[in-house]
Amino acid sequence: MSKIALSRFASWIEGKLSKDTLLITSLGDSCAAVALGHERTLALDAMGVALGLGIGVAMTSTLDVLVLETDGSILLDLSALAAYAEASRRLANFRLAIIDNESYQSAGKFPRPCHTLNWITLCKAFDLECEVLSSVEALDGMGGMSDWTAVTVFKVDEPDIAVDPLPLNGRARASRIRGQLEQAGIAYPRPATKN
Amino acid sequence: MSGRINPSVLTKALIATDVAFVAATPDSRTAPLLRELIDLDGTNGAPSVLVTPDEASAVSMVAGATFLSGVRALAIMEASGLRRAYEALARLALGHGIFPPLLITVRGGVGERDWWAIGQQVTLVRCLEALGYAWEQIDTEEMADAVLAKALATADIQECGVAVLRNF
Repeated sequence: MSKIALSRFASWIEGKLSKDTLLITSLGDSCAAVALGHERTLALDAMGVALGLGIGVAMTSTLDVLVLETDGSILLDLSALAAYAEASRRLANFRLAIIDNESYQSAGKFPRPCHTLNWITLCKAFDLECEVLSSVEALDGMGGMSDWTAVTVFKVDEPDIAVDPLPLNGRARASRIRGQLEQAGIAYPRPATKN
Repeated sequence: MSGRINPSVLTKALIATDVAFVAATPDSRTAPLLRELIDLDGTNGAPSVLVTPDEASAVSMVAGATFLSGVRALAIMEASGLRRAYEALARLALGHGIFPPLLITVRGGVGERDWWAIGQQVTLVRCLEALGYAWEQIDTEEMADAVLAKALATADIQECGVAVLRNF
């Protein structure tokens, strides 16, 4: 079985997304590698926020939404999984993917506490279906996003590519995705007026 | 402190102002309003509701609903929840210019008899100011419609955060 390299994962997941899928990513190099490959992406500079934000947009729109979290980001706000479990019956257009590299990547692969985190058990506690993929062969056997379980964990091995910093700052990234959605007919809240 | 506001008044105000989505972390003072909204379950113009154990999740959800879906939404919490949501709000508001609107129960002001609530008042306004949030308080039932309408009109612009403080 071949371990999943970051470059392979990034190109694989882009192949699974339709161009209209809204991708919301957490921070970190692993997420950035994926965010760079998909046009309709909001790459957040925040941990513990992406899942909630994705639930909010999925509950109030018809967009297909994929939230890409990291192990550290999910651990920072586990209670979002409770909200996800509560909302999941109403979220046909939503999936959660988690990249697990078992470390603080940006701190030089510093080992994570609880190295062998059991995702299946964790998700089961929230009554969420979960699948863990840890090999390229497992990736090859995966269908489209709509076939994925509520939570899919990807055990991604050492990053094999140098990920450049994302080209836009936080406000520009938000403005960019807002503009894309505007063009797709998802209106901005009422425009400012001059009184 | 003023008298408590009937939750039905706020429900009507949320409907009148086209609020489509509420994410909330309940406390004893917001529970009656949330029960009423959950019973309506998005019918008769009422917002759909998602209860979450963490205010950080609530503001994140409302950020998605307002900024990406383009609907009116509110995160409802007790004043202490603002502290819990602070990091998420800082990232969203200061880092990305995304300002989820808030409806916050005021606790700890003059007249407060719960000792543990005093600290909430100490941090509430300071946290809002640090995040660049404007705010206005609903003190009477008659104020609910107008304050909410004004607050959401400003929130629509997404240039700054807006909080409605509800004096229970």
